[in-house]
Parts: sequence; C-alpha cells; structure tokens
Amino acid sequence: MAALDNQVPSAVKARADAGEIQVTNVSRSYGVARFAKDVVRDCSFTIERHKLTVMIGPSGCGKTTLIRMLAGFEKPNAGSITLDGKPVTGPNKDRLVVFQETALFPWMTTYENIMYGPRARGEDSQHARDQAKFLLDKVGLTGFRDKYPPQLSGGMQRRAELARAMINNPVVMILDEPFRGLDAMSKELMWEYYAGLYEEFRRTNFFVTTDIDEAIFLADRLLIMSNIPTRVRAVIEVDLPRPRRLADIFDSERANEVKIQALSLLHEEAMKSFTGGSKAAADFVEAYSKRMGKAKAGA
Amino acid sequence: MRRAALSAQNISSVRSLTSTEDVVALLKTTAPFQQASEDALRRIAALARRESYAPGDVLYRLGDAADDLYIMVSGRVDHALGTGSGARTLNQTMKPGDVFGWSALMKDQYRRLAQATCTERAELLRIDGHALVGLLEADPATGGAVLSRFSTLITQDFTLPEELVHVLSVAKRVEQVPLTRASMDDLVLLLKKTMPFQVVSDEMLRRVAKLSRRERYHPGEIIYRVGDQSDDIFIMVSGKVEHALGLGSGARTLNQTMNEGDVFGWAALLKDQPARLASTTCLEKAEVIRMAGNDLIRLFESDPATGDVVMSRFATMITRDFTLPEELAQVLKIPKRGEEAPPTGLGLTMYRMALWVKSPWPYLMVAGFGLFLAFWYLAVEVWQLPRFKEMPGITTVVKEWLNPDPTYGLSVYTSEYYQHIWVSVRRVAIAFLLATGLGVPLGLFLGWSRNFREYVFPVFETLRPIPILAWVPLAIIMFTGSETPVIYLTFLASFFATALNTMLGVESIDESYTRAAYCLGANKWQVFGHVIVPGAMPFIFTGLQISVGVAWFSLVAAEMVSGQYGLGYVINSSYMMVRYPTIVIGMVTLGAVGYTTSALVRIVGDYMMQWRVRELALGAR
Repeated sequence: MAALDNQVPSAVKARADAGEIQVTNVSRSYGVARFAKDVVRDCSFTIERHKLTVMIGPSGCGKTTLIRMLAGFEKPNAGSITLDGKPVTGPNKDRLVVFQETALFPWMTTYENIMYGPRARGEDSQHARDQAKFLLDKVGLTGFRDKYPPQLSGGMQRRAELARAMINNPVVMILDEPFRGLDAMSKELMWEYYAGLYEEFRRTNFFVTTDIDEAIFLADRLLIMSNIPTRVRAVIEVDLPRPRRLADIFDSERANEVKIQALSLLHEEAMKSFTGGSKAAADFVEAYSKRMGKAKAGA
Repeated sequence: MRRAALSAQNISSVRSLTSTEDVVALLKTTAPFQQASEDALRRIAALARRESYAPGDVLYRLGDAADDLYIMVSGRVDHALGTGSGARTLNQTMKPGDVFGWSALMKDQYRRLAQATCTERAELLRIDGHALVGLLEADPATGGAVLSRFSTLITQDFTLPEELVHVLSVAKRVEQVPLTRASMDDLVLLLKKTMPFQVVSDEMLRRVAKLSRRERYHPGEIIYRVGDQSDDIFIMVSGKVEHALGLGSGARTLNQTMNEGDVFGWAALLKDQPARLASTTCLEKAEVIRMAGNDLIRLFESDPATGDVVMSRFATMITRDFTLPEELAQVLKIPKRGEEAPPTGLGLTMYRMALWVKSPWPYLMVAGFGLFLAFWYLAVEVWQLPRFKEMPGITTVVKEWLNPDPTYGLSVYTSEYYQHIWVSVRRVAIAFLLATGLGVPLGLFLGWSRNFREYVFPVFETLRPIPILAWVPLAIIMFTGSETPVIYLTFLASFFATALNTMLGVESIDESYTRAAYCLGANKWQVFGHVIVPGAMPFIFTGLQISVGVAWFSLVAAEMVSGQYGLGYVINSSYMMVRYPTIVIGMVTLGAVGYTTSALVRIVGDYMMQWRVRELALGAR
C-alpha cells in the first residue's frame, strides 16, 4: 500500500482552489406556450468546495433536470450556473456525471472503460495507465480488469464507474442516484465504500438521491428540495463525524434528529404535491417517527 | 513457591502411595476419568501424590498460580469461586470423588479462579496439570475424552460461562474414523444433503467420498485458525462447531454455528486465498468429513460440467450463507482440458460445436431430417399421394445426384455442377459485400444524424418495399451483359435489409452511453466510432444474417430471369427441359450453400463481438 501511496498520482487528488458550483435563479421549463410546465423555477444553491452535498427530494421533483443542466447537457431558460466563476456551457470532464443506470460501455473491458476518458482525449500515457492501475486497486477490481461489464455484479459495476469518473480528476463529481437498483446489502456496502473514497480524496461531490438513510449517511450538507417546480426547501448541515461507519451513524442521536427533521420536511412536500394530501405518505412518516421513537426509548 | 498458600505443617503427612490399584479405583469414580482405560489410569495414577490437610488449611487462594489438579479422597473442602469467574454458584462443597483445581487444565488461565479451604480433615490426590496434559497428549484417544469431560464438568457443575471454559486442547488428538463400505454409503447420503454437492450424481459422490477422511473432534478443540494454510474442506457429520470469520474477511456475520451437513473450510477452494479466513472451534463433540481441496479440484477436472456446477454452488453458498464480499468469494475455476481462458472467436465456435455434438440435439436433427425424407419417400413413391406423385422421388433424385454418368447432365461427378455453385456463390458474395459496405454506413448515419435521416429515409422507405422482380426490367436496361444485372438485383435486396437493421441498431443504443462518452471528453466523431458503431453491432449482425438469406432468394429470382449459369438458372432451365430430378438437386444444393453462408456470418459476428458472446453464450453456460 505504501508503494501505491507514493504513486498516488497527484492528478487524482482534489485541486485545492477549485470546485465550487453556484446555481443562481435557474429556471427550466418544458413544452411551449400554454403547455409549458415549469420543472425548475428560480432555484438557487451553492455546491460548496470539497464538500459532499446531497440533494434529496420527492421523486419526480426535477432533480434529474437539474443534473442535466449542471452537467451541461441542457441549458437553463433563465439564471446561471457557474463553476468557480466560469459559466457552464456544455459537457466537460470538469463535471463528471455518474448516472442512475450503469453507463459502462458493455463492449469494453473494465480497464478499457476506465481508460476511456484519457484515451478519448489522446492522453494514453504511462501516467494514465498507472492511474488506472491505482484506481482499479482502489475500487477492488484488479482481478476483474479484463472482464466485460455484464460479467460484473451490480456493485462492481458501480465501483468501476466511480473509477472511470475519478481517473479524469474532475473538479466536481455529480452522482445521480448511482446506487439505485442495488440490493439492500450491496447498497449499504457501497455507501461505506463511497464515503471512504470521498473521505480520501475530498473533492467536491454532488449526490442526488431519494433515499433518506443514504442521504444522511453520506452528506456534509443536505439540500432538501421542494416539489415541482424545484427549489431548495431547506439546507441541513450534517455535522456527523468522519470517517463514517454504518454502525456508528445509525446509532447516533444526531443522525436520528437529522432524519426526523428531513423526513418532516419531505413529508410536507409530499403532502403539498397531492391535493387532498397523500394518505400513504403521511402514514409512512408517522410509522417512521414512531419506529424511531421506539428505537430511542429502547436505547 | 507453588504452594505459597500452604505452610509446611499443612502437609501433615505425605503418605507414600498406597497401591496404584487404589488410586486407579478412585480415579474411576471421578467424572472426568470414568471412561479412561485401565492402562491410561495406571499412568495417570503414577503422577498423583496423596496429601492430607487439616481443617482450616487453605489449599490455594484466588490468583495463585494454577498448577495442580485435586481429587477428593475423603473429608471436605469448600470451593469458593471468585466473582471474576462469572460463575453463578459461587460456593461448593467438595465430597469424595469430586475434582477441583481444574484451572490447571484451562487455556489462558494461569491463576486460580477460586479459593479452596479445608473444612474437615481431608485427604486429596494431587496431580500436576502440566504432566497430566503431557500424558494425555501422548494418548490422544483418552486425552480428548478426558478433557472434553472436564469442560462439561466445569460448565455443568460450576456453571462457569462458556467463554471461560477453554480447556487445553491436546495436540493431534484427532481421531481418525476408518471408512468402511457401509460408512461410504452414509457418506454419499450425507454429501447429498450438503448445498454444494446436492446436484452431483451418486457415482461422482462415491468418488468424492473416496477422497474423504472422517475425523472426530472434542469440545474446545480448534480445527484451524485464521491464517493457517487452507488445504482441506470440511463437512459436518454430527456435533457442533463454531466458525468465526476473521475481521479481514469483510464478512458481515462473523460467527456461525455449523450443524450437520454444513460445509466449512471452503477457503481451500478460493482463488488467491491460501490462508484460512476463519477460526473453527469444536463446541460439542463433532464428527467431520475432511477432504483436500486440491484433490477435489483434480477430481472435478475429469468432469468439468459437474465441477462447474459444484464450484458455482460453493460460490453462492459462500456469499449467501457467509455474506462474504463477492470479490473474495472467487472460487477456483475447474480448468477445462486444453483450454484455460474462456474460448474466443473461432475457439468459441469449436467449443459450441463440441458441446452440440455431445448434446442430444444432433440426434433430434438427424431424426428431423429422417422424418422429412421418409415422408418424401412414402408420399411420392409408396403412397403416391395425389399432388405428390408428379414430383421426382427421393430415390430418383439421389440416384441422379450420385450418378457418374447422369441422365440429365448434372451430378456431383460433373464439373458443371460445381461451376453453377461457384457462379452463384460469387454473385452472392459480391452483392453481399457491396450491400454491407454501403448499407452499414448508410444505416449508421441514418440512425445517428437526424438531418441526414430526414433527407434520406423517406426515399429509402419508398424504394424498400418494391419487389426485386419489379426491378428486373430496369436492371437489364441499366446494365449490359448478364452478370451485372443479376448482382445488382441481389445487392439491392440485401442492401435494404442491412441498412434498416443498422439504423434500428443505432436507435437501440441507450442514450446514457453517448452522454457518458461526451462527459468523459470524447468529441462527436469519437462518440460515433466508440459508441455508435460498437453499440449497433448486435443489430448489424442480425441484419447481415437476414441480408445473406435475402441475397440468396433474390439471386435465384434474378438468375431465373437472366443469366446463363447459377443454381437459379439450373432450376429454371431444368423445368423448361423437363428434367425434374435436376430441379430438386438444384434446390437441395441451394439450401445447403445458403445454410453455410449464414453460419459463416454468425461466426464472424461472434468473432467481432467478444463482449456480447461472453454476455450471452458463456452467461448461459
């Protein structure tokens, strides 16, 4: 490991002075004239440098639209998005997105997938190859270097994807529900794993999810989004200590407090979205708070 | 020093030993030594010293060094367990035949856990713990039994917590249980109950059983420890062992109790894992089957099909029951004879062929052909069914086909036959290559560029449904000679099939791949080359298979209309000249050649799409 640490290519480390995204009064609507529907309206927030910001909101609240704008696949109708003061104009390796669905190229091996970024930019240097080797080891896939993605398990695919993004040393990593669809156990393993990676490299990370446990476990800052049209409803600073371990976090009082607070905000949003109120959502939160209360009493 | 608690006068009399027989008789009345053989007891008796104590004498105190073991001969001794011992009954009075001072036999317990005070004048047998263990080690059979009885005694009579009661284990006191024919049958039955071997044939299980040794372990014994070399795997026959996975294993459930039929010690089958990941301790007298991992793998090499299944079940068991992380649970692969890496390209085709030949499918194929030919024979020549009796019979056709001097001028012995085949194949080849060379790029661009598609697709869709025969007059006007019009017509049909499928292939590509590529810094043309082309490949090859088939039937249509050679021409001209058997020869040949070209396209596709081949073909293996 020591030998590897020496080789930790400087490029894989986060840059000290970069990585703050400012979203200012951004709006985005789809459709025209009478059929236009605002998905994002007058939305402002900051993704702070070197922090892990998690965005959580009811499903279908326009999170993915925001991500597409952050990544540069789409442009806002109004407002501005800047990275370290410079406006975002299109997709760039500065802002790498790890998508909901696995986007590893099935026709390339794990190694080829990881090396894709450097190769596409004509940087197939010894340096890049060393980095790839280092990252393969980091994500525990050295033995799966020459396997094709369909031969990997769901968790391995996600890790390969993280490595593929990290080799490009993005200023900001954007993750759109990357662990959706994994089974509960692999998911928890991935949380710890991903938190570990973040804690090691400390680059700006923007993580979008609908899973409250995931959000609290990972976040430095938690952005709670309103229902459509999307705006930031509240920001919770999650001041839990790092490095984080599942057992520590879910036993901690503070995590429970944050959870109850976040759930009640989310609950309000869910209630708003359904005229007449969504009984199901209300029941869910009630049951949840009860369970949490019980857990506390038990402890 | 050892007897720090005893003043010299406490040892009031150390009588010279009365007869050994007396001591043996006494030992026989104690719980731990009850079952030991006369011979062993005699040796133990030789270690014993007889001592007497006066009331008020303290034999040992809490925290003294624990060296000796005591057995009551007469009198009374109070045994007061320290609170630190975790025992529930702290005080016990020892009566003749009772054993105490067993800390001397405990592992990691060099101090007394209790105080023993003489309340009535007492006579005791005193045995040096070290010497006793040494003796028991020399005789593992007795040793195991005695020590296990000791641990039972300690937990039962003294109600000490179990974690404290790890009596010393006797090295190599494993008992080998000889295998007899009857026990072999039991073994096979037992193996059948285990998860990995459930699906294995009895015959194979018998061979597995032959590799096995049967062993007994006693409570407290450690079967292996974390970091030991992992050679053998174990299957529980009876009893209980505890399997504690090491922290480094990354498992989520660290402790598991193994019961009958459970398998452990599977680190012996793991790839890159030469050391034990867990410690396994015997909780109750246990019987296990033990076999060398390497032997097992060697056995499975002789039957890779079974081996693969067993190994994959092992992997499943390890990840499921032991919740080890997947990357650790990589069981060894059974090397296939002559090939270690997964087959690729041609190798894969050969592999598939070999599998196919071994499977029941070739027989089904032969049966299918047999039925078909039999029906032909019966319908035409035997039953002479209404529509069929005008047809050439199978015997006529085969006779003609294999005739060195054919009645109608065409058989496998005439060079003309091969000339016809060659001309047709050449035409199809040229047309197919042209269609691929033009159709694939056209399809790629149709799918990729919206603008291009708006220009071209409507025209394309208008021309595509026009039947080949409708093109014949124009083809003849456009091209001189007889060769080019035929190739042109053949080309046309397969071109449309290829282009359309390629376009659908591009459309089928998930947008996330192109987005990812842009995100990683690829430009438009790189996305085209690295994402669009490989992504459409599966559809392209489906298209090519269709296109080669289409090429054959448009070829025949074209050859019937114009041309002087080729299989289509043979069929058509034979009809004109009333050479019915030759028609059938042409048809059959056409079928065979068409089948071959289609297979060739599939092989090339497998070769070019390794990733897909592994995903589909090997995934199902």
